Amino acid sequence: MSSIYVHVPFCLNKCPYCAFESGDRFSDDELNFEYERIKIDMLYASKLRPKAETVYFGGGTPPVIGISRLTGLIRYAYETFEIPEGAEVTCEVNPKTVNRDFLTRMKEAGFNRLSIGVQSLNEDMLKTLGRIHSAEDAVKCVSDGRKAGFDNISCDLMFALPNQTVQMVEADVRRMLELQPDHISLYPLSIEHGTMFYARKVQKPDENTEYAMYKLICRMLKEAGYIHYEVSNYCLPGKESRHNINYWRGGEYIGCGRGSHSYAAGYRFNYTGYMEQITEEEAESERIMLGLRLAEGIPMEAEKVKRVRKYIDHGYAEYKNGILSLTEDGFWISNAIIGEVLA
Amino acid sequence: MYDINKIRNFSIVAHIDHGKSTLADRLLEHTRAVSEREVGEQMLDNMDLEKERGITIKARAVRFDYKADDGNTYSMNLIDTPGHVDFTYEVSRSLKACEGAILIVDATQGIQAQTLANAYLAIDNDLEIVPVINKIDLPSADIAGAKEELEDIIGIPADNAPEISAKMGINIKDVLERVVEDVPPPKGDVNAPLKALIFDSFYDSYKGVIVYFRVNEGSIGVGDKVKMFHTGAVFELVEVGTMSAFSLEPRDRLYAGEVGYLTASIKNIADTKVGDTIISADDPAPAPLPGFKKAMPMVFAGIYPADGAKYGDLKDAIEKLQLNDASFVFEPETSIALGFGFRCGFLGLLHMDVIEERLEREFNLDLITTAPSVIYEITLKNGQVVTIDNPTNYPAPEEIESTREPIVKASIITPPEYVGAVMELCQDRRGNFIDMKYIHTDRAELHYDMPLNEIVYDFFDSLKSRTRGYASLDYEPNGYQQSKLVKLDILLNGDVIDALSFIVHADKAYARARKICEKLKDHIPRQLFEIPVQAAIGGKIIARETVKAMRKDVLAKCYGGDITRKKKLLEKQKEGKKRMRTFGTVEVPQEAFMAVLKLDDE
Repeated sequence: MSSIYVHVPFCLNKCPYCAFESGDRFSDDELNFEYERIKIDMLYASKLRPKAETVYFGGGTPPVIGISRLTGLIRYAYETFEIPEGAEVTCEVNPKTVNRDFLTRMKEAGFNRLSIGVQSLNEDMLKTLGRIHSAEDAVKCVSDGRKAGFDNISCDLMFALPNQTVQMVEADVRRMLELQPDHISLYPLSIEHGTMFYARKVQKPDENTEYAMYKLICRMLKEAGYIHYEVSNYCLPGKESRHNINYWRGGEYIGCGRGSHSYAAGYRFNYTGYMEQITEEEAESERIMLGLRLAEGIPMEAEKVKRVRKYIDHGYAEYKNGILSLTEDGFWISNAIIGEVLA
Repeated sequence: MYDINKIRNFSIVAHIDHGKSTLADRLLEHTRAVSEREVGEQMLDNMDLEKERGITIKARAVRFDYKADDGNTYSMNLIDTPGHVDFTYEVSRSLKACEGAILIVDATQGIQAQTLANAYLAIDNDLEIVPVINKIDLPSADIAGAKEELEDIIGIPADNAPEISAKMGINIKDVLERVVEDVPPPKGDVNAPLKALIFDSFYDSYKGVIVYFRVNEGSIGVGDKVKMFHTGAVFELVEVGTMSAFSLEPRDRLYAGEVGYLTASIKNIADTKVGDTIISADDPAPAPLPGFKKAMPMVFAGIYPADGAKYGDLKDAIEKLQLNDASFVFEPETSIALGFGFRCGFLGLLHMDVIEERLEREFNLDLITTAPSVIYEITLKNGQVVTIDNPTNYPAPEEIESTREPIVKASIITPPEYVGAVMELCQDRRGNFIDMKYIHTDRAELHYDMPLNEIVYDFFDSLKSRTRGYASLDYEPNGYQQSKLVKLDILLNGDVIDALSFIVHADKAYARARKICEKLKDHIPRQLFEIPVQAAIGGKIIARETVKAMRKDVLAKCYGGDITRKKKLLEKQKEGKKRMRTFGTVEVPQEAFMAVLKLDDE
């Protein structure tokens, strides 16, 4: 399976915790330039892999380039690639950057899934995160999306935020569930090098609190009927992000635009000119490293599983019918477990 | 033609890095023993490690002809000496084979601890000293100062000392002329029974042990039956000859005063000990040359493969190293914590360092080394005296009547501004101040009696870091003294880790215990459960830290762009994993073992 990822490196306002390739100062010329570059990248990509089973516009904030460019790009994608009926075509949006009309035009142009950067439904937390939208904006965005005809909506929610309590997380999740999204991504804040948060030495809740938050989230979402299908992702049955599952199953993807990364034809490469051949051995360890992120796990010989016996004995992993998979607690220390599987 | 009056046997002595090997190369080059093209690497140092550290570990010798200004051609034997405190005995044997010594003083650094130690050693061996001022090409050179120091401190006239730059090849001929003029020819009766001094030996996989010697009396030749006076080993000589810069040159016979090598299909280097006297088996000289001593290891440590499966490789490597180094001793040892390994004895700290590095570098082994130990003398309540070089064998506290530890006489030379820092360090290491004198306005020499136990940890590193690398150290054994010693055990998750036990002075036990627990806590990665790290003396816990349980270790987001990053992260983890040892349920990385050996790092 092969996917197309389109990176739009622009935002209205760069969030102080964000380490992704994006900027909030750009001219119209730059937008035009990037628009053309993405189209050229798509054209090249289509020569390598003519068929795209999922398409994902991420960023940055794709709507920032304006509705005509955004629809122009997705239309170009449909012209350039063979995109089968029922393919998953996602666009990330920030609640402040779209309205019902905007979303309707996106839907008409061929997007069929939205990923909304809600992050929190608490005004104080949104301010802390430097978001440009209010909780109300987020709620409205989901309902506008529904009205525009999107029947597959994902919401991003963050937790372990500065000064956040377990009660606050509970309230956030409760409000989120009221919106009935099909899919929820739940990320603990991580303070990355090169961000404002890092520079300001922003403090997160302590690790025990963070674990309590994680456990609470797992429980609430499970009770609401969501499946915890990946380390940070939950969905209603059948609403897994096929695009992301393709990454984690070691599938091929080609990135278009500045800031994107690709893996195809045995090579990993990106927009900077970096290119590396992935040997079979590396591909195998990547399969393990990525596959164990999924609740479905990966097939593994019993001999190899011995290395992580202690994790299995203590409920961090399971080994059934030749499949090794991590549990909810296992996800939380997945680096350590994966490290040992690979050792 | 053999003419004893046209032979000059000499060596070069200097402090580390003062240019000994470079000068040796220049001398050879000057006399065309080596063409300039072939120089470029220092030839007398054969091992990579020596080149890298700028020290000569094993003595080597080379013979070359020099046509002097007086019109005669002299047969010159340059005998290189190891330049470090641990090899004092080997140096002294090399010097015994000479009549003179070139003493190099670095014009930028003046006289240093080993300049002094080696100069005194040369003087004690009645050698004619030829002082040389080196590195005159450097802007910071102080030639007058260096000469003044030579006269004031060592008491040898320095007026005529050649001022040279070995690196740039300046005034090299002067050095050779001085050697010819000032160093006396050897004395010796060609017709007396054979007496030859062994000053070096090493193993060659084709010829067996190759022995370097100096003939003092009589002669020695192919087919002779010879006997090693002290070991009693007898050999029939296969080959005898002299050493040129790049090859061995066979000769039929060597006579009194000459320096050469022999081979005799000798399998075991221990049969040909440095300092032993070679005599004729048929016409044995009644007495040996004086001064033979068996090299005694002073520092002991356990060496284990980081990967237990590599025990066989380690064994092979250690055996190979010993072929060339009879002063390095070992025996197999088993640790509950580390499995199979070896208890190794070394002449001193540098010797230990060198061996460890060679094992890691030349044999590609990952090692775990236990805390170095010295030999303690323990009197038991029942009157019996036992010597202990391994903390594992330390008797229970209730059995011990009294304990004694080895003391060394340490000499430290440092610029005056660091005297305070050096004194503080020595005090901290239980040093007993003897005296201090200014050997020059810019250098002070301090003498301390110090427990060897305090030096073997990280004393040298600490000394260097507190004096920004300027201080130099020399030490010699100075007997034993009564001392209040205890054995400190380290427990992980309640289990004693034998490889981490060590013997320490009672007054320092608490401080060190606390520090080690902290270090271990910092170096042991979090695991599924909380792990107590404790230090105990005879079952009584005196320090405790806790490695907290692993809480969170996850990369929450992982999409296309993050895969490379995550992969790197995991690869690092994987590398670390290989160097882990499991004790019960606790995993301890190799770094943790290293960390407890370096305590003075803040």
